[in-house]
Amino acid sequence: MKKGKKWLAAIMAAAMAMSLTACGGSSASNQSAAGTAAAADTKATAAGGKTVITLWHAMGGVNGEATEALVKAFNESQNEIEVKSEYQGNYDDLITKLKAAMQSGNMPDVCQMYDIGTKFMTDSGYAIPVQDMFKTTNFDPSSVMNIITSYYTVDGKQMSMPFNVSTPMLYYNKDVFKAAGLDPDTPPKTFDEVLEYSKKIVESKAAPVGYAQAIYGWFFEQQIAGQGKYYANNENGRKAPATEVDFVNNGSGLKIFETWKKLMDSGYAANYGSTTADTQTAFFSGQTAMIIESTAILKNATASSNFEIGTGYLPKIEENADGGVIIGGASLWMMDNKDDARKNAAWKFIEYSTTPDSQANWSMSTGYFAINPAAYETTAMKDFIAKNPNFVTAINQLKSSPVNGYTAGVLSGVATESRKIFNEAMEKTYDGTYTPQEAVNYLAEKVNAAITNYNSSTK
Amino acid sequence: MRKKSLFRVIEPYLYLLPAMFFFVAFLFWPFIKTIWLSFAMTTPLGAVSSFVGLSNYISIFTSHEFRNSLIVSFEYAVMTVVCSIVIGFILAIISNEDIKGKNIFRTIYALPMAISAAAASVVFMFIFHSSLGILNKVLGTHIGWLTDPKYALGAVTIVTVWMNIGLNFIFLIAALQSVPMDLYESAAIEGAGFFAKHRHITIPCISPTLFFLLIINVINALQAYAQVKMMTQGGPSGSTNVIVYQIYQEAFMNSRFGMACAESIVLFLILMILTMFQFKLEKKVTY
Amino acid sequence: MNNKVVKYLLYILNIIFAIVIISPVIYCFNVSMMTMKEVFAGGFWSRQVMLDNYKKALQLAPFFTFIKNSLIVSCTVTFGQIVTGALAAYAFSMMKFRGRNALFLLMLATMMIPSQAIIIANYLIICDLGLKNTYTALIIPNAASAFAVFNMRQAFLQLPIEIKEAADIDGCGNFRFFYSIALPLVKPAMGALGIYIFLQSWNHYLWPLLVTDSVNMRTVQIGLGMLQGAESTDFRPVMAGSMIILIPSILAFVLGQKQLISGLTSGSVKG
Repeated sequence: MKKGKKWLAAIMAAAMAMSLTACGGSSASNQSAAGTAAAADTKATAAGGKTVITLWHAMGGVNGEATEALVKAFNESQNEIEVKSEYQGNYDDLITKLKAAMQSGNMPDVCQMYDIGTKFMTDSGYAIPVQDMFKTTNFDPSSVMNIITSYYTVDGKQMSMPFNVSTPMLYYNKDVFKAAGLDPDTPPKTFDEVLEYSKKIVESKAAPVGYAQAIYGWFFEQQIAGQGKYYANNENGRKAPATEVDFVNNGSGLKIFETWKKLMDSGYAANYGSTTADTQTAFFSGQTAMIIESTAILKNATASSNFEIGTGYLPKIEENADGGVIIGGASLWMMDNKDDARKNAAWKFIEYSTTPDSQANWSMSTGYFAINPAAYETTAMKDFIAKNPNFVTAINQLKSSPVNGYTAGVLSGVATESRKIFNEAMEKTYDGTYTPQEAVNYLAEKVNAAITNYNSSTK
Repeated sequence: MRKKSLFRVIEPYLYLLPAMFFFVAFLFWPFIKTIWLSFAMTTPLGAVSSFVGLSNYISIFTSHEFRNSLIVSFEYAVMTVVCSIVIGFILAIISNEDIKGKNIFRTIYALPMAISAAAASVVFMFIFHSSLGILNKVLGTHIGWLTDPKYALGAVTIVTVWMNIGLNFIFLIAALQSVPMDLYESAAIEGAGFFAKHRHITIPCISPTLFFLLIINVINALQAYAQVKMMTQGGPSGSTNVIVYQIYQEAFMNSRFGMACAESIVLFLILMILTMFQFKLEKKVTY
Repeated sequence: MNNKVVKYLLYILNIIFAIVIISPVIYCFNVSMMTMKEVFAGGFWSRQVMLDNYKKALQLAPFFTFIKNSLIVSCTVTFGQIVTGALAAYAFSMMKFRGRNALFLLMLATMMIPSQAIIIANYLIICDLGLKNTYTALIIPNAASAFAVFNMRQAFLQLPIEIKEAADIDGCGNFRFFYSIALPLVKPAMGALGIYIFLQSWNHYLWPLLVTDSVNMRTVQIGLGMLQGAESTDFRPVMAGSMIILIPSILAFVLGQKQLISGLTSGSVKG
């Protein structure tokens, strides 16, 4: 009956009103959120004298569990600090929320931020560079791999602490290799070899498709670094803010478009679009014999595929001594809430996350790299590696990557947009609307416009 | 007497007050801010960095991406609106008769509404996959539903129509309940068959609801972006880059909030014009 | 005889449509029962009944808390929108006053504002009021909607004008007419509207994400997000999670359908 529904709703409303008063305690309500200091003190000294700090992260699924485990371990390891960990959506949602929080004075103390958000965080003025905290606890910077920290170093200073680190690598179907008469322990090293192998695979009917890769700007950036070249000027934007791209002048961009177009036109490769999950699905279901993907999907890949998985280094456009891979993933940033107690507490948590045991546990549960080389020496890690030889490929690729301005990756405030433009340029190259040269020029023109816009809006 | 008539004058506004209060606080006020920001260039945080007058609007109207978005949005809206309302209507009619299990059928038809756009997108991504997906298996084809510019918009439309059928269905079936039974009885006496009955009685009687659904579907079609975000990200080659996804991108991915506000105003004006046009049409068409 | 054939045909049609429409939901349910390798083997049906994915989903996100929160929020929002909507709609359809058309258009205009443009501004309002992380924050921006006003206005307009005229002659005041006569007559519309509003609110993601921080205040769609990985996702718990949060939605239908059907008895104009 209508009345019945209205009564139900009225009861709900009453329940809500009662819970509102109960929930009032969970937020620093009744105070204007514009004032940070007062609210911070209330928060910081709650829970029996412990300093309470918040961590915002974008880790869901298995990674979320591992994050919670890390936070729990830290909280249980000492009595002065309590970390409250809060999931804030995926990377895109998290940065949206952080930007809103910056405006309203509601920032967390530690915030995870994806790799391409580095310039934004640096320019925002709300982050405390972690390097400033090293001396306070005698932290040894060499306990984190250089190739990893180089990405997060701006103007010689390390801004944030890497947290979940991955690189791309080649995944291939060993069963199909065998059926096609290829050596299952020798993956292709260059795209020329990829093409050759794909031809054998398709012609021998071992699999319908030889090779596939998602349309993803990250792969483009990787191949520029693989050729030992800069993506943008001013040394990838790290010596001074980038004002334009460099991949047209140095020719690396064109080579990439040409190579991939040739691969797609051969008929031995396929395009599953820009949603990376779709290319993964094609691989797991045996449709395509090789893909390139993040090292972080290894666990899922092994569990989902009905065949033996092999891994190899990311194929190169051409052999190059300066070339290597760029790390990706996310890092932990310290947000400036103008409170020393919370600042020190935040640093202690971050430092804890870099210890060999924390890193070993994190790496084994998630498939991300351990940023501390000492983690690989722990017994647990050694056992894990012995059981997961494919993981060794990822580690070795990282270790053999030269540390230089190319592999540090580009520091750009418009990375999300640039990747979107890349998607469009690549799609139009595949379907023939653009020639590789036109695509590169289009990409450069649009990205340059975005960079100019960004630079003038942040003056 | 004068007191009574003063109350009489104010009375209608009192009825409007509760709703208007919320509208002003959470829609109009932020909207004014949006208008203001549309004339500015913003910092990545969303604060004004400088006022640029009409230049955001000029970039919008001279950019070929926007023209592409307009065309894509228009195609998408027409396909979605027509299919959603027609199918919703058919479903309402066939489940309104006195047949076995009609409650189960009705629940099934309304069910897609309960699935969020995010969950539906995940399921359909599997269904549309070019090699693993059921659709290709059932049809025996090898189409890249989400990766081929020819098919992508159609695929996103299918998902949207599936999600919207429920909405149209429940309002239409509610409307069908209020068609007076005696009209059907007189029609039966005069020997009107199934189709005639619906053409001459049902449709005219529920025309206010049909009109309402037309407006709602158009507005929804031009504001739906979750499916695009999850399945195609505006691609391939901009073939699913509807205006509102462009706005979402501009605001949250490119961090050009001022531009996003300008695009929002443009979308708003388009919707206003379309709606007013439909209202003019109503006067001529409703029973 | 003709009638029987028509009924039979309609039955077949219903079955066909029902199968097509429900198959994505069935597929979702099936995947929630599959092993990882099965998912990528490409079958439609799962080979076993397995609840592991449901356990995983509940482990990764406290769905029961989320369901409780979403229920509180959605029910209150539904109530709020119907009440404010019916009141405003009554004025727009049954009363005459200055500025009626202009105000109606103004109110309609609010439906055309893209949410992306105003969501951050609303977030800042909530913060300034100190309402972060409360049910109030989740409810008040959605407590009224032009959709509800518009829908109820159309419903009132469908009522024969004779009823109002008769009531006026009898000296019945506006509010009494509204509450005792007009509202009961539009029960089907309110039922449909209630279902729609409830489900819209149930499916909100970004707004709850912005205005709540702690996990005990979050809502169901955020729960689904918590099941997804950054680079690769095991979709089975995601499907299981979708099924879990579907259950309360179906309850909303069952409740709302009662309103829709009860209108059957008041299909004709009563004297």
